[in-house]
Amino acid sequence: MSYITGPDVVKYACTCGLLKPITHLYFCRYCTQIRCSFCVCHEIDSNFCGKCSENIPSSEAKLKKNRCGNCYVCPSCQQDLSTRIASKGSANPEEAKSTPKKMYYLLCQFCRWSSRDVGIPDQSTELLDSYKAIILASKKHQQDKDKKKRVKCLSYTDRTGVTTAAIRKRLGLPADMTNPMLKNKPKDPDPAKAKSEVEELPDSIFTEPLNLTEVMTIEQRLLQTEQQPTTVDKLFPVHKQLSIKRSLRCRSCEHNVSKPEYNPSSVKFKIQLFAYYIIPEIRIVTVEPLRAGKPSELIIKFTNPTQHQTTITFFELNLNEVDSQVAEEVAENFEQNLYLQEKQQLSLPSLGSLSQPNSLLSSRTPSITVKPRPIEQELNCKVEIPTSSFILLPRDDAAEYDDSGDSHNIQDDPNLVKWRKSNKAFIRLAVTPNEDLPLNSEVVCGFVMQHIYTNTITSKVENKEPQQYNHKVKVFLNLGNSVGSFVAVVSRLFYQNNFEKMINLGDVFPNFSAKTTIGDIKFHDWLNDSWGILFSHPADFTPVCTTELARLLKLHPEFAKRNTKVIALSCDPVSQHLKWSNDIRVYAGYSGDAFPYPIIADEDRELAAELHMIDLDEKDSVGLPLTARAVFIIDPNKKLRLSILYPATTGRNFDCVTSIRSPHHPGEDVMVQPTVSDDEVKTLFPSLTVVAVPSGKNYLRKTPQP
Amino acid sequence: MFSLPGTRRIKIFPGALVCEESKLRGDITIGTGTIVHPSAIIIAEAGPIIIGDWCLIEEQVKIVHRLPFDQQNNENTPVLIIGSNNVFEVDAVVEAPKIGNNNVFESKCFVGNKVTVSNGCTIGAGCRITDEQILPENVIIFGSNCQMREGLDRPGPQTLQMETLAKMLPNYHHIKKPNMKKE
Repeated sequence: MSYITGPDVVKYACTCGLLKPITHLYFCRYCTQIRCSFCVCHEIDSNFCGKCSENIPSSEAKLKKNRCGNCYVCPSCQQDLSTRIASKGSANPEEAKSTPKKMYYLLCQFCRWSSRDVGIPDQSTELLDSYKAIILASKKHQQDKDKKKRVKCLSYTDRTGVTTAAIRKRLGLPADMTNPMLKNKPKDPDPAKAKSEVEELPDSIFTEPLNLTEVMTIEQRLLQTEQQPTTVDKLFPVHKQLSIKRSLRCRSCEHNVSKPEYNPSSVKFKIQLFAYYIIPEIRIVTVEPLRAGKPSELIIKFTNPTQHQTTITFFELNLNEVDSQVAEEVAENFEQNLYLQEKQQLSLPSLGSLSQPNSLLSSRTPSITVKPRPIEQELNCKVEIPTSSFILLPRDDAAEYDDSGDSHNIQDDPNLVKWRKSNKAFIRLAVTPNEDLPLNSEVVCGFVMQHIYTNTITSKVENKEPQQYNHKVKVFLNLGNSVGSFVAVVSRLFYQNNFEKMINLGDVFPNFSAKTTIGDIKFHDWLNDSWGILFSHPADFTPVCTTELARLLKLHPEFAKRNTKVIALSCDPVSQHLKWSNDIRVYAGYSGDAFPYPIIADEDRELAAELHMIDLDEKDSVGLPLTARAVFIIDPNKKLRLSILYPATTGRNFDCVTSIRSPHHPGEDVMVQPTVSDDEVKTLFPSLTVVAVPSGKNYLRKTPQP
Repeated sequence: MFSLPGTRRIKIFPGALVCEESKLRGDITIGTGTIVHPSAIIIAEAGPIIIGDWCLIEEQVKIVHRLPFDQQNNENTPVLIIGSNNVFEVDAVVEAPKIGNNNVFESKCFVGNKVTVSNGCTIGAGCRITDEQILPENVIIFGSNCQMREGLDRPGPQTLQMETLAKMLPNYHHIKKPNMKKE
């Protein structure tokens, strides 16, 4: 389903130079080449009506203007109309005994249009029956006629072998007798001339209110091309257009790559050489955020659709080289075409004679070979081509239901193959976007995949072993946009959630560098050997954030006393931070000159994503997620000691944060850690008091504040 | 608003078939012959709902009576009156403040709380109608663009289906007992 609805991120290059997803490609096993719908011949196999599933011969279809004689579509909504039966009592009420007549009318189940809407009277079966009788009679008449013809209708030419022209010649009349009607050629009608003056629109068009339910839509009008009525009371049912079954033929070898079954009710194929069944399928599993000039890890999934084991090898994709090859081929083809043309011209005069026995192939219109075009896709990302290749096991439908686990014994390169299961393998590749890639641009990488194609056609009897070919396919992967965008941030978030752990308490806090209101800083250097509090807020110039930061401004001396540096963070630029800090100062009634703590500007949300403090529910005016209200306390060893994460909607109490740094009120007794044993306690804190609790466990031990 | 919890405020007239599992909240009156499927949801939030006779309310249907945002502070409680012979097909969501007779709400359609539905209207499958309007009689809305056309007459009643349901549903579901007497 994702192939139909999802975007095409993995594209394969067709032999003709077009890039298409694998589901749109065919594989000609006679040429061992990829074909797409633009480089195969499309041939109509059969015409049929999609509603009644009746097969209609092409000559008849042409006669009926490619429409079904029995089925109609709704003139209002273009859905199929269904026939409804309505019983109608006898017109004469005196004949009470007579059975009610069956009357038929057409109804659209979708928009409830019915043939009664436009005043078409209900039809009785009488008419149909009489038509059937007429058809039968005419058939019989035709048969009788045919029989008579065989006996009687013989032309004189057939009997004598003398043509009219020969007789005329013998009689001395001119051989060529043209119809006198044809001699005076009919006059061509005068071509229509465009008028410069056009009739003015009637006033009513401006004054009368328009009732849209009475006017036809463009679709409805175009459905009735001949009349093109404007009002809905002229909606008449239209015969249903026929559908076709078509077969696709490779232009170079004239073999079918796709041939459906003839029966209209069958959806199966006689021949279906879809690339999806032959060429290993590639899907992107995950990719690290892409930064210009920096390598990222790309994990792709390979699936072997065939019953044969294959080996996948990677090669560098050099588009220029390919181009030159193509150019050569084009030149060659051109020469060939010239040669062919000459040849054809030479052979044309002799075509009349029967010297050239026409082969089967030339009875069909010869297919035009499509010249390969250069691939129009720029690559802006390098793929590190792995030197080793890997094996893809054959597809085994039964393995899906086998729980016993994989019993394969394949020595894989652990750097290349991340994981494998039955016919699938997850491959790790290193990709590096180009240095000069601008932010938020689409990153496309490509490589040549070589797989082993096992040809299952037994062309030679003595050659029992199926032939194996090395087939190369150019594959293009659209890896998404380079980092800086929301997409990248989100993808990074998902990536991290899947593959990386969040920073735990006790982990060393990342030494990021960031733009702040005091210039660019390196976090660890800025912290030096003091404690640090990093906290984030959703946005500048918002009420809760302002009160929070103002409170912090007042509390700042308390933090300074405890050797603690404070730094704020949000997704707004530095200029905004500076303007806003003035507001905070006024709001807090702060008398100091400079704003005492810096604010980090994390415009591209990289830091927020790294520290896992993005709140995906809260978005700014352009739809980018905002930072949540996080608090991190980092000790002088740069280790994370505490983290609080509040949603963007909930404000924090910074008095509480202050109490975290010294979890007691000045002058009050402090608690002794329960891990300190009773013996140690006595030596460490001589003036200890134990609070008695009902459980009888002495864990509430207090001592005066040191 | 929900001073009396549960089913006590639900009035069912005899002949109505209301499955025990259906979620009915608030003051709801259900008329004779109306069938409410097990997982239908009817919520009378802003005021009472009165459902007429011979309505068919199918599975997953949500009928919500809630006030539009601009009338949130209105003092008087409006009553949502749903007429007779209406059909609410599977997964239809209807918040209209007034519904007449003989309407069909097809599967997965959505009718917002500013749309007044008159009589004989058909809201097509998957159509979303949210703009403030009064649907004229016998109007048919269909297609992904909510195309509108005027029908010849109102849609036919689903008598056959309802007869079958009246026979089938009591065999497999607990039915709420009617607590009203015929007027």
